[in-house]
Amino acid sequence: MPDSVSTAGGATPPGVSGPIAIVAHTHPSISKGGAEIAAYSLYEGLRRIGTDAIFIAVCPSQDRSRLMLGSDREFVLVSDQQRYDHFYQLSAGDIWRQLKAILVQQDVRLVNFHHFLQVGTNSLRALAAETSIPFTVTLHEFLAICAHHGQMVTRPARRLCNMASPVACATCFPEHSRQQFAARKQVIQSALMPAAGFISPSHFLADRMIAWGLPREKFVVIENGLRTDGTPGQQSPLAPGGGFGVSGQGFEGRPWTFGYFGQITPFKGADILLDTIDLLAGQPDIARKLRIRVHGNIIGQEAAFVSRFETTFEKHAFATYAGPYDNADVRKLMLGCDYVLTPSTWWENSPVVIQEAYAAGRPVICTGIGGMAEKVPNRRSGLHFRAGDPTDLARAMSEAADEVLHKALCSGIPAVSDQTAMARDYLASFERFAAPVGGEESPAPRRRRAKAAA
Amino acid sequence: MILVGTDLQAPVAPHSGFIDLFDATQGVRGWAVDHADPRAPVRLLLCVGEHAVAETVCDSDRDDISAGLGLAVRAGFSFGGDAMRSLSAYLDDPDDVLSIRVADTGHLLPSAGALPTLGELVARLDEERLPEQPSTTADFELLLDELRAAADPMVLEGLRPSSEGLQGYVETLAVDSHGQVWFMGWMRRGHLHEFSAVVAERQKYPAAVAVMSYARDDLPADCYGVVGLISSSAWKPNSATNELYLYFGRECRFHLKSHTPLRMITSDELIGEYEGIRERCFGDGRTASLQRMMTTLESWLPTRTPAQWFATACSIDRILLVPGLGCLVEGWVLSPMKRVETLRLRVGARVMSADRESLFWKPRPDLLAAYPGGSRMVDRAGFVGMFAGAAEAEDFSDPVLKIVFQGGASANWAVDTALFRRLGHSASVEDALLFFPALQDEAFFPRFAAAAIQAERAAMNPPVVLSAAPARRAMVLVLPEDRCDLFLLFEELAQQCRTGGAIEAVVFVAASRSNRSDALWLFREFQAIQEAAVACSLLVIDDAAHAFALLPEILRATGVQRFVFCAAGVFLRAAGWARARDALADEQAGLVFFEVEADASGQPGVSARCFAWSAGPLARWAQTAPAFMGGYYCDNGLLVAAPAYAVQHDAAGCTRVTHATKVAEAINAAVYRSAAPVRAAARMRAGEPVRTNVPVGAGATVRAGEPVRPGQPAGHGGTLDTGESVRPGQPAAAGGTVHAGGSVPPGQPAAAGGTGEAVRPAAGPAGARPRRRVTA
Repeated sequence: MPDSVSTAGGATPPGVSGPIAIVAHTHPSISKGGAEIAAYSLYEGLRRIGTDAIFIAVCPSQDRSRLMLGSDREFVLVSDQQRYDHFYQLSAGDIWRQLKAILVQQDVRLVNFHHFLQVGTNSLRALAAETSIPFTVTLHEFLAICAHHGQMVTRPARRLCNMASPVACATCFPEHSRQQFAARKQVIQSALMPAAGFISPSHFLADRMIAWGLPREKFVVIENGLRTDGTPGQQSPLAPGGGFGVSGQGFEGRPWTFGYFGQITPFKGADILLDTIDLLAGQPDIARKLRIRVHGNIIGQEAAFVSRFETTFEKHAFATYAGPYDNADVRKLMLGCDYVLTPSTWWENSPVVIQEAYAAGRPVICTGIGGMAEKVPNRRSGLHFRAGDPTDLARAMSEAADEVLHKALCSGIPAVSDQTAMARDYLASFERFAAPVGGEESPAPRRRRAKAAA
Repeated sequence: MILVGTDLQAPVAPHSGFIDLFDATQGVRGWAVDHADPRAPVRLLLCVGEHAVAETVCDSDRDDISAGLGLAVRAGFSFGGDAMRSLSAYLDDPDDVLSIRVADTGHLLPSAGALPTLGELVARLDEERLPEQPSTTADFELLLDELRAAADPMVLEGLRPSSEGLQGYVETLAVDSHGQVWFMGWMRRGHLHEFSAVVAERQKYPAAVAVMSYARDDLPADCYGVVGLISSSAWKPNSATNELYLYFGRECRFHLKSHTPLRMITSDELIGEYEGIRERCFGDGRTASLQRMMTTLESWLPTRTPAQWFATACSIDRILLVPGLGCLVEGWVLSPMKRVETLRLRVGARVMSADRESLFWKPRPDLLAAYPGGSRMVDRAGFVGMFAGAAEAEDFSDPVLKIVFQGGASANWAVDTALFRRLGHSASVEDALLFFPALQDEAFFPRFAAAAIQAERAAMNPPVVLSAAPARRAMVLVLPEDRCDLFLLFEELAQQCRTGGAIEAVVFVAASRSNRSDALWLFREFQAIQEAAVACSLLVIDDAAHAFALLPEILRATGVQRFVFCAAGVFLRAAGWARARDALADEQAGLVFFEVEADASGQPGVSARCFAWSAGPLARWAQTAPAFMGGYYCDNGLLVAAPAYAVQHDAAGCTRVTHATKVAEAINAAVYRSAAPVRAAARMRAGEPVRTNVPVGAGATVRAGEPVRPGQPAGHGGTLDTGESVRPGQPAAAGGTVHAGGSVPPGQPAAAGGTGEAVRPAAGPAGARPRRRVTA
């Protein structure tokens, strides 16, 4: 069930004709970010519940050789990365032409964009102006509000930003004028406003977007569902200490294992984690009780960071870098840990890693802000620490190394949504936002699509 | 002058001789022989009364005497002008008689007339006193001018190159880079160093001659070598010059003759030869002036020896060449011996002098480490100056800085060409602030402003047409320099085409230095999407800021007659697009301004950054319109260009407010002010009265006005501006009446100052369109 600003719901309506297009900024075979995985999960979930859906992803022309499409219901918009403007989020007109051709050819009746990166705000404007195909937008971060990768973190100090304004944004980006930021907001809002509805995986994100100017009545909150192979109960939380591998390490005097999963970047708090490891190394009594295991990719980081990263793990025996991992193995890897760490320094929306930790029955120690704080209630299914504070993270880890607390937190882990549940919630929201999608099609959309085809 | 005729009468024993010339300024000349030993040099004394005051020896050739004796003798003698001038020191008794006596004998040399007494000589010296010794080159040049003028009547004299009149030879001749004629040779002593002369080379030319002299071992004692200047406005040697005479003296009885063939050398060679004898040259202040003129002031060869520098050290830090104005120069001069008076700079053939008002000296404490013990010296070592002159980058070679010391001496310093920057090319007007931080307050600023604008205009190249789709009406969109704004402009245009209906044509103007490549593919893409629906042209200019100034050429290249112009960074709003379509469709609409909203620090209002007009009137107006730094300033003078105009409020915004720098703003203000008479003249030519800011009702014409901003009360003292918008079609000032400071109800007459007094209709030309203001 979607939690909602305006709650969506309902089962898959019968008799739906014409596909729903799920549009993502990239394909999971190219990139494994949360947004594209969520989008692809939704696409799969819709198809599993019998809804005709197609998946459309943007693919940089140079990455076409890496592309692996799952079926003929998956389409690609080939882009030239050099021909994209990341400020106003405007793509080359060719993207819209490709998209329009697919929509018309497939007689798409509704489009669900998973944010607008790479597709471009111009494509959304063109869709609204040239066709009457309704569309919704799923928001995965604050890109509409913040030009700093949608993080709402200031530049270069990386302080958390509570509210954007042309003046404040121009301070972060002195290369842009405040007039440009005002124009940016205007352009992006003009692209989003025609949307039939917006889906947010968290209340926190929804509230920020509403405060920014999007209409509250068009919002629903639907949690990202985890991908499954279709086995019932796959996402049910495991009992504390259950699962595969070395479980229950924290019991009976054995060290407690804290796992980090995901891309190793400062935004994800990797540098905070390194600081914490250094701090713990100075406290041998605590360090003796802990193991820290880091899983993930180091991509695009400065040499100084990489060097420090490598040095840290060479120096401290209680810390291990386990390297990259296949997302299919994440559950197994998490089961080898007692806690999952999410030390992100930005607000986050609804990190998939939290859902994955819950699915593995593992409590989460996270920064107590934004989407993380929302998804991990403090002392119910995890622990909070102060944003960007390695001392407080060390404190939280030290506190977590307690059998009683661990059991209590494990018992507070909520149920985890899977992709079919998510698909049902989406379908309900589509029905609400664009009534004909879920029921008998009215003549008007058919005429509009015909116009688009013409 | 006392001139005594030569007497060749037969000698009497034991000595004979004669005084040929006795001149108060040139001295005494004559001959004497000892009959006992005619070849023995005769010693002679110049006496005042019974006192010998000078002595000389007969040691110069006198062919006439030798011929008379039938024996080669050296019988000639002379006492120079210096000896004459020294006689005044013996003025104990003015009645003392002057005489020339044979030493040890008391034998008096005869003369044709009585020699003067000392008193008479001094009086005549006073009468014939030479002009005050020039202390500066300017004074010296003035003296030459006077001598040249005095030579004019001399060309009427009959010139005979008699042997007795021959006073020396011109051996070499050189012409310097300024056309001055220099010579080297020798001449008899006793003549003035500056004199009027006639150059005879097939014809006769008046001239002034100035020489400096030096001892030459190969000459008799009564002769010396000379290096001199022949200053003539009418004569210069040429390749055919082979023989010439220089006649001088009363009735041109003396002359110098050139060697045949005449040796012509370059000025550099002349100076090179002069350097070899420089230390032996002597003379008075005028000789020094001539030296300066030759070796430094007129010569720009870098000074070779430290001694000639007076141990001066010099360095140039930076030079900004401002075409049409000169050069701004900053550097330092350390002169331990002589105070530096001024500086001059030569670039190519242009010689620039430091503008006296701009040249200032300042401390350079950083030099103290290299030149210890010179704290007072470094206090005035740094200099900054504007060297005025028509410097042009096209003539840019061998730059030399000339340091002119107090007293007139000078030295040259070769300047490294790598120090030069050129305004409008490699330097901006802001770079001038490095030289003069208060540039806009300097006296030369108006000239600088004009030169800067000229440089700005000169830097503009005509647009390059990459794609042309001629159309009668078009939007002319200057593509923004920010890449993101470039995307936005094409997207906004595409959105207009999607939602607002067709646009007949769009002329895109890209800037090659900022957005050419992106503009090109975005243009092609837009062109492809629009297919034939929109005629698309693409032109490339160097700088987006040039677009307005190049607009007439852009329109000509695309055949556009009616246009809406949007400068880079200006984006029409929805209302603006609608009005733009209207303005394009209505060719009679005249000039329409689209008000561009700016932020709080900007100046919203009427400007040349966004407006609609027609190509013809624009082209006519542009003929006399000035350019501005950054392309735009206020209305760029457009307001007075049209008898009627409209303003569309809230029509456009901009994504980047560019604030002109303080100096650019000051330049634009200066140019705008200076162009006001031009604009007024253009307006008069167009048949429009010139707006005068005087109270309405006093017979003032009020046809063309300043832009009225929303909410701004107008009518300072009752002028036209009412601060109210006039509805379309409603006559305003011209031919109508207004309420100053009040609203104008449709159909009601207005009154000045709110008193109800009617304002006389303006005396504009019949048929002139009334000014109208339209609120969008």
